[in-house]
Amino acid sequence: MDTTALSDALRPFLSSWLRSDSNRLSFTAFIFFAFFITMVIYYWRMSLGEKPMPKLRRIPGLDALDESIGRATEMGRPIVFVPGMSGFSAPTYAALTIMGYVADQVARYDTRMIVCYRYPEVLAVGSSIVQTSYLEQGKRDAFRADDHRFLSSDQFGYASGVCGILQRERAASQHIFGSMAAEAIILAEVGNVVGAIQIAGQTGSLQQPYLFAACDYTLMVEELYVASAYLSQDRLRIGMLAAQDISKSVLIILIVIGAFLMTFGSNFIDRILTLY
Amino acid sequence: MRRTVPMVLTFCAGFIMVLDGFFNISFINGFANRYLMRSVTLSVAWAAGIGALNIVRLHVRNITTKRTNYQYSYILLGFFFFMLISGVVLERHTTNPFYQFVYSSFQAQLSAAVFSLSSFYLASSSYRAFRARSLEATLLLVAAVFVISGSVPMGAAIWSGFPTVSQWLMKYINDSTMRAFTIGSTMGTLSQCVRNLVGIERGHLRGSEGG
Repeated sequence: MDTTALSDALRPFLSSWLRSDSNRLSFTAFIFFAFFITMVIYYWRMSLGEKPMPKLRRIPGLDALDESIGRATEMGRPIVFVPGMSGFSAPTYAALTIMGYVADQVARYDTRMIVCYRYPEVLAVGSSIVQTSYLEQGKRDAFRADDHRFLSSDQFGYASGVCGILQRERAASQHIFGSMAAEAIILAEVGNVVGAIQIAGQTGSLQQPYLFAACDYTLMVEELYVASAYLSQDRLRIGMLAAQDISKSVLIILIVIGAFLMTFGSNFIDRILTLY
Repeated sequence: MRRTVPMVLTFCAGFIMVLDGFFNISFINGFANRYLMRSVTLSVAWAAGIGALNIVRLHVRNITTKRTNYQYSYILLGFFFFMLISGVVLERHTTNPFYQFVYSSFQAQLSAAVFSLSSFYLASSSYRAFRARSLEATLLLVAAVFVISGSVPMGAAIWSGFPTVSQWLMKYINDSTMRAFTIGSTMGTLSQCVRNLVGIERGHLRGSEGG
């Protein structure tokens, strides 16, 4: 099939309304996004009915949250929570959702949680989330504003601040969630030195091996985004995960077919994906 | 109401950004660049004040209540106000040579020192991870031996095949795994963004419920 002719035929029509991209992936991205949204709507409707939703497999890292909170409660030592190294981005939102769950538990058991922030805008939202947990438990006075600390916007200034808190406060648990970079290994190793039980989940592929090596439990990249559905077992959120998995399966099928065809000398899939 | 307004604003702003990302609509493209992107900059600048207040409040309280190690709070506050005032008062502000000298002599050096610690922490975490306690850990150990040996001249001197095996492991096994991580992460990000956009994910809005 001559994809160049198809690309040339489509170009005048697409260029009138679709933004172009130097990698010629605009049209593919648009189609894929539309497919994903269709899946979201399908599972949204399904979640409103009585049909059984897909089951979520066990995620040890999220199951261990209660264990780590229990340990901190028994030892009378604090939990240190790191909500990532970025401002408001998707991993930070996921980290804040997990923080809300942990905050509910620490408010219930009167456990201390120190949250270290790299960005002040996250501090404002994060401290409100924890304060709400204390209010819901009827323990307004137990909320400690001083345990919500903006340390530094500098990457390693922040890392050294968290390390200092881990050591001075003899943290029983450390939760590292969100977007991480080179400081991940520093935080995890210092947490290990002070004997903290460590649960980590982040989205970059580069830091993942370090966290596997240094932490007790590590979420596998996208498992970070599963947390809200897993912890709440809400049908709608589980449906969203199903939509995500169906879309990912389509990508995997395309990759397998593309690799198979490429092995036999055809770059058909590549040309179809880069029409505009 | 306190929760609905942020949700409506999130949906409107997010929807405009999605339209801006995909479509050639001059009004939308202009509005997104001129107003929405600038509003992010403004919000972040405003939040810097919250951060500064948080630092000052915490360390002043450390000093006034004489908490453990409160002496360090004097140093922190001293440097904080020194950099703040000199950045505002000095001619050319943060590009002033004196300001730059203090910044590069203290902050940059200390930051580099902390970064350099990561190499030692890598070694200690690798030592723990490379113990053959299970089949997976043994596979990791064997792969690590090949990759490390293939990356240093001594490895090639022992057996010339080390660099080839190392490159094969990095190029095919490591790269494909990392790409799987990247695809999963991207799909997760897309899903999280759509959940935020349509208001299914409201964990970050819990603070809006409180008093």
